[in-house]
Amino acid sequence: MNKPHYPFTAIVGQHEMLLALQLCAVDSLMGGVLIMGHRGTGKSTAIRALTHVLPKIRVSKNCVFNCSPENKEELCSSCVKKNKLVSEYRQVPVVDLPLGATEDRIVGSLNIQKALSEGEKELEPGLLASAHRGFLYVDEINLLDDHLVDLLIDVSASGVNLIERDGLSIKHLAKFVLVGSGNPEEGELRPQLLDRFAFSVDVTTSLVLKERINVVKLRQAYDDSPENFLSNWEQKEKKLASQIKLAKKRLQTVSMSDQILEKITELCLSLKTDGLRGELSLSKAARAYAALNGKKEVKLEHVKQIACMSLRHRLRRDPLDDSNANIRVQKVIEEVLK
Amino acid sequence: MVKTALKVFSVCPSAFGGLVVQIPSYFYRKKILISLKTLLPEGTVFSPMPLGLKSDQLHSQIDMLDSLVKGEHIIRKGIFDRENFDQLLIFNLIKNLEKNVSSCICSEIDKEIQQKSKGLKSNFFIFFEEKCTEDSDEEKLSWSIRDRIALNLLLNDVVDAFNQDEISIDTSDVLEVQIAKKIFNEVITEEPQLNFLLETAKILSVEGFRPIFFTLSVSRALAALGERRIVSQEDLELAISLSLFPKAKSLPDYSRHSEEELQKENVDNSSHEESQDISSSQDNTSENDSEKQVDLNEEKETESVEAFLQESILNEFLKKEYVQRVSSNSENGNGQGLNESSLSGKGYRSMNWRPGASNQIKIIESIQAAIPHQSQRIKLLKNRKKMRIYVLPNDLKVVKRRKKTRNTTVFLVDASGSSASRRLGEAKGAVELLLSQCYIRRDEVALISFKGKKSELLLAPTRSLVRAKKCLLGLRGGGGTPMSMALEHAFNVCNFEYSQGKIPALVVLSDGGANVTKDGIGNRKQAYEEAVIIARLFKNSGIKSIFIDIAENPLIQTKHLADIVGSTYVALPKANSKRIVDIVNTN
Repeated sequence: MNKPHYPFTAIVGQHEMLLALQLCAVDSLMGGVLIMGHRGTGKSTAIRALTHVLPKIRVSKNCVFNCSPENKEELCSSCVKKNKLVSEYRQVPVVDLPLGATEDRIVGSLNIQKALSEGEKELEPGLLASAHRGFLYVDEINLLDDHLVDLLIDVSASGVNLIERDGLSIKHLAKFVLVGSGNPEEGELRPQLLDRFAFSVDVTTSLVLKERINVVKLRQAYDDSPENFLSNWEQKEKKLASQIKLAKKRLQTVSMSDQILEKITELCLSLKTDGLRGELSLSKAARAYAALNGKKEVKLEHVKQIACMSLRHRLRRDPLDDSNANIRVQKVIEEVLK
Repeated sequence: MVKTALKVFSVCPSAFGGLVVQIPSYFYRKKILISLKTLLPEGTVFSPMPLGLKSDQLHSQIDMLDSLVKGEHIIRKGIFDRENFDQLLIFNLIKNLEKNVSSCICSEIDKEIQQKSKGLKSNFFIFFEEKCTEDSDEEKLSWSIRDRIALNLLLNDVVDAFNQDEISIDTSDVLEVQIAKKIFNEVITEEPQLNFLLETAKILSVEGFRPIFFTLSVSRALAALGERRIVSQEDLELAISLSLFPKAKSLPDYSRHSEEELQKENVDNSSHEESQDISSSQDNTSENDSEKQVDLNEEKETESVEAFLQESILNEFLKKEYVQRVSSNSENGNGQGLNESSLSGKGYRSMNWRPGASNQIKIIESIQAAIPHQSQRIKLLKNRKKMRIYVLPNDLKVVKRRKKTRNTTVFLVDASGSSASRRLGEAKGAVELLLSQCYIRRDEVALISFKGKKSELLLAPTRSLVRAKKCLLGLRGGGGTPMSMALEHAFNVCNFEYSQGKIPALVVLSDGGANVTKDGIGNRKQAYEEAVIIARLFKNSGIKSIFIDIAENPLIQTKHLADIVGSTYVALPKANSKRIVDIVNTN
């Protein structure tokens, strides 16, 4: 008997984090969100809450890889064998990747139970398989072992998990939104992994007393009676859900003029970001943002709103330089996007 | 205080996650557990956790050995889902808690608090920290767990409670808890109390909202224990001291006081610095004389200056050190800076199964190992259940894992008056250069500074270079040079790192003028002798080191000391010359 979840729209403050998560929900191929900051600022609450807002995904029945029946070309081996695909609706998965997880647990390995009792060679799907079409949440990502980080980089870039182990040779899709969180004081993230994130947001405990009181009051109301609380927020949740649903549909039709693209490139040039991922992810994000706002065309205003969080972590940075990257990015944004 | 905390915990254990108790010795633990036993509902299982707990013991999984013997798959229950009743997991010696174990515990606590499932069993935790004094940081529970536990009992409170014998529980207490359980959910907190709590949290700069929510629950439990339906100010204050204070990042009274002091010092320092600057620009030699009269209380701040240390020197040192390390490892047959263990890291081949170890089994390799013996086994084991292949425990192969060994570079920075007045700035610059080297190699860094009568671990080994830099910037100079004390401290840190499976390297930045003994007495000769004794320890242990002499005029003694430590000796080239060239150029 589970307690109802905390509603997404009832989270106070942390606008940047919430926006980044929404944008990823609109365009799940965008990359991921890196959330750095204090403990207990509602990171995992927000992610879990978001999945309740998102429309349920259509999945081939009993498929462990979350195969989509609509996408006939990319079915997993067991779904291909089925003559007729029966679909069911599931909630968007949120998978936690614990710090100490082994490679086998993440990638998947031979199903020992089946191998022993039935003598069958079958894959025991790992965390990557269950995160397909959903979110993979790694808390304290900056403390993750290096060889696991390599794995994540590889799979998140290709969207395919290749398993060649224990006599198994299997390939399955693993497209997920990677959400990492951590405390920057405990260590830095590898630049290679940092680069994969579409957004980087800093979260801090709010210092405004009123906001804090509001947080505590809402939480108390929720604790006292979760059901009532949820029904009070239902309207807002529904509104957001339809907004995201519409944005998802509209995303393909959102256009972007060359001038805007030029501005984006100029922005990345003057910030000296490495590679082209900066431009790519910023333009994608701008389209998603426009779609979320119900617009058909990306405006300069849209780019301005999200440029900071999608470029902040891409600066070439002296590891010892603790000066605020925020200020640098803001300055350049002001200059370029006048 | 202790009794109240225990009672609060018993009112609704799953709402609080558990307890963290600091105790001076084992004896206290027993008594606290006895009290808890009377308070908690009957049937609660108390399970002490063994040392060296592995994360896969916590959750259920297949029992390989039993499955093989019986020819069917058998699941061994993990600690978390072992009992059919509420379970209290007891942890001692938290220092040895593995990273993945603590992350498992965190997610378990989160689950309990999120679900608050009715009627189902739940797990809660009690952590004992054995401590001698309140300040000592021998044992540390990871912050991510500490943050998720509502009730913290500090050492002093525990000892006081024992001294006044306030720990034993009688029937009236049990009754109180039972009543409180019924009304706990009905207790409300009023507006002014809420404001008060949040103000306090702000002053204490508590991070995040978890501690605040916990404090609220604790205060409600306290009110319930007093059979009140509304939280009173006293309840809240007690709750704050139970669950908010231990998580405070700054204490109001102290901080204000020290801020004033700081400001005063700053004023003093700036005047000092100015005068010193003038004198240094006028005459450099006069300072050599003043070295003899070391003022132990004088402190000054030094900005880091770009050190004119050739990067090539550092590169060479680090490279050389690495080569040496690799060769020393291969003697042990360990290969290239890799640490083999069966517990964590990347699996790379199989080895024979070791009972008790938490290993991932390699089925194919295990069967391959069993095949040559089949004809023999069919004869031997014909009485047993018929199987296609007879696999015995000693055929089993498991994954052998290896992990890159991490390096820890320990910086020992001399902040004494003699070096502070001259080249601390350059020393800081040199450390920064080295730090960026460490970043490339993804090393951990630790920072120890020494001055006056003590050496201080400014930064425990960490991978966060930003913190290292911040620590370095805040470093102030002044006082004597307790070289022996500092070397000993560094030796202990290095040894500890070594025991944690990391490879330590030492970087000393000093002018070598040891003039304070271990007992804090100014005696140049004795101080030097002591330093030599400890330096030999380093040489014997084979810890790689570099000694950067930051004296204006390097002494032969310093070189000698560096030789005894067994380190590469580098005299920091004079930056002054570069500065002068710059000045000439600009004019």
